[in-house]
Amino acid sequence: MKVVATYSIKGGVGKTATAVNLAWAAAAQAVETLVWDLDPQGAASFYFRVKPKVKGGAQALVSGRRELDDVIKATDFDSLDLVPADFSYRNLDLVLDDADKPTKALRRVLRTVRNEYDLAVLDCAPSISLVSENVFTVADALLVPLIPTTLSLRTFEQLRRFLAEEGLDERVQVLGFFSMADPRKRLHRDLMAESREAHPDLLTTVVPSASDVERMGVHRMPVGAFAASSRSAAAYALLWAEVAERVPLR
Amino acid sequence: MAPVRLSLPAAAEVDALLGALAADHTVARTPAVTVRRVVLDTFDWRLHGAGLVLERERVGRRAELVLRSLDGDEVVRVPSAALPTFVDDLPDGPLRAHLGPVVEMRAMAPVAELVTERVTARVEDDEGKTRVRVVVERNRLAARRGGGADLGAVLTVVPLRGYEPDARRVADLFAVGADASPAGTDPAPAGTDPVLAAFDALGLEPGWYSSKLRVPLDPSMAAADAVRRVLVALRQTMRDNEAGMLADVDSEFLHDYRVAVRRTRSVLGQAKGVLPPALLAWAGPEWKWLGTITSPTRDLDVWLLTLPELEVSVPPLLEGGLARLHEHIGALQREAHATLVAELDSPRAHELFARWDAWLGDADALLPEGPAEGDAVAAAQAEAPVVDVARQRIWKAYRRVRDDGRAIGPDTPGPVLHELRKDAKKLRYLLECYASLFPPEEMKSTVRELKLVQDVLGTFQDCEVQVATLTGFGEGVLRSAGRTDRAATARTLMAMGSLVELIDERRLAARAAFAERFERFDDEANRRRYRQLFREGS
Repeated sequence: MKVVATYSIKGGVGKTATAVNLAWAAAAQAVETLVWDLDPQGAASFYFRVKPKVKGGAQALVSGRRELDDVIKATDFDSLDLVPADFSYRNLDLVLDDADKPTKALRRVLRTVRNEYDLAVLDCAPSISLVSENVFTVADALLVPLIPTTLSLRTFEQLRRFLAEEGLDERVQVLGFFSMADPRKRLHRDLMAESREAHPDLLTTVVPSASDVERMGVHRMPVGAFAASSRSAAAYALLWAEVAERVPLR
Repeated sequence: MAPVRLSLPAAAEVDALLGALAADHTVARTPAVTVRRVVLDTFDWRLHGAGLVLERERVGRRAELVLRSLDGDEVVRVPSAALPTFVDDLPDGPLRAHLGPVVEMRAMAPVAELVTERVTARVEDDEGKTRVRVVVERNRLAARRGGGADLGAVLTVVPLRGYEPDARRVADLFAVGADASPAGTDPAPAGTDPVLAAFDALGLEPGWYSSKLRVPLDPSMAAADAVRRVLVALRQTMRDNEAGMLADVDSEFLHDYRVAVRRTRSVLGQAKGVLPPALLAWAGPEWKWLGTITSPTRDLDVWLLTLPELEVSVPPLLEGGLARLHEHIGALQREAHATLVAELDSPRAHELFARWDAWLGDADALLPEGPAEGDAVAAAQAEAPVVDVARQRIWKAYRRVRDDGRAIGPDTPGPVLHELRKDAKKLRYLLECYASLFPPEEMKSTVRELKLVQDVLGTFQDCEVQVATLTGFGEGVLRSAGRTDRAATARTLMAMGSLVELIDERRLAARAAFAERFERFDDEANRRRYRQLFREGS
């Protein structure tokens, strides 16, 4: 099982939309996929119409009192399951801190289902915290949505610096890509070109800013499920193809 | 929780059924889908024998190959419009990996075509989340193969992970006696896979064919009658394989055909005193001839089957060097097969089959010369109980293998081992032909021990022959190469050179293993087994 986490220090960059749509694109190709909604706000759970509730909360999962297996919910899509969010995840940092080897607790929990899935997609709350350190330890790749703005790009550099300082840049790939981009805006075009020069390893897929993605909240399903032939759905399919190339499943 | 499957009576209306469900639940229905299914299997039903179903499913323009277990669990699904014949036709991947060990060298072909009308209903909660799926499938045979015969309908309650209690509740609604249960709905008994219903409707008997000889004999039967019964079964095996062999569908048809011919010869070879001498004098050489004409094709088939495995051991530098050898052998095989087809259509072959079949049908049918003077005396054991004759003949064949094997030392030349191989084959065929007369467990051990010896003898002999044949192939490749592609030809010959070395290693390994295998065959336990079964009797 390969683990991809959608991650951003900064919020509001299309992180959850990326997790949900990427997972959907993978599952559509019969890749057995598990989404873990680690964000206490439960946006990914909302998109899949699954109630954001885990019996016993984060504590039960991290302590091993409850198996991950027990809380997994099938989504309405083949090959695509979900570990729902829970309000207790807001305290996940504290729960992890109590655990044995705190930075490896999530890895331990995920390991119990590694034979059942080809791919796990973690949707993390924005921040740098013990939760994110856990994610850096378990993920094969961090998928980082970047809005073509100076601020967004600055946090991307922050993240890379942090990983390098912690010696984590060897074990986890950082896959940045442009999200919510508007190619009609000159500023977007310029910033994207500049960043590609500074970071030649950025993914080439650009997910456009589109109303389809906003409408996910109305339809409560991945964009490919209600607007199969939209530009957004096509972009996420391409994004998945590119991720699969960087993180080969087998 | 496993899916709950219920068979529906012909009259059950899908609308009424789902309507009953909608009374208490929010039910969303997807439009009906028509699935066209082609079920594939090998001539000897290998997939069915392994509890598997391979289907090509077509929904609109989407086509997929689906491998699942007979009770419905899907193993793999891959997009593919084409129907594969051989496992090698499939791209590398999980489907090929699953099928390879089961199907091996056999060809797959459509055995049934079904049409499934599928309606899916989703039971949703107040968030619009699907909690349970209910799938109703009505199956029929395809119009062009089976005239559209109805195969019944199956309702499946599909539980979703994390929502099992909902599925249990819905399944209970449909159970016998429950309110929503339409009249006559019964929980489907195990094995109601529509594919089985299709086989049944088409009059197919999966597993009817086996290359194993299964002739039940009664120990007190007259030996002549028992022998004839075995010969009838062997002739039937030849008939079963004839069409596939002539069309060269896959190499197993010829292989099984040849085994039946060899077994026939073996039985005849041990039938002195049981069958009339005139028959033996005529049939022995004729069946030998028939066996001989099938050999060249089989030898080339074996090459084609082993080349991929040998190719792996060719040094990386010469990779791909065997492609041309492969082509060359392929061409020779096609030529040999055409010759075989012609020979099987020759007057000599027709006469053999006609006379043989006449005799099998009627023991008094005229032989070439008619019943000979003194036949009754010469066939003195014809009326003896078959079990006595079988014991005697097996014991004799066993002693021969035992004594000849004991005489083989580390320096005994190859041809002597080759003779032993033939003796061992004869013993093996006798054991198999008369297996039904003896305790099955004991017979299994007997055959297993013998097979171990046969395996090394076979490998040794095959390798010796292969090294010699390769030299011949080398000349053939050179002749057909022409002057223009010398580099490629050189490469092929060098790759073949590395094969010679490899094959010779195998030959030496088999030769070295013989002593230990034979010692095991000749140990106290096995000797006692033979004595008890075939000497002392019961």
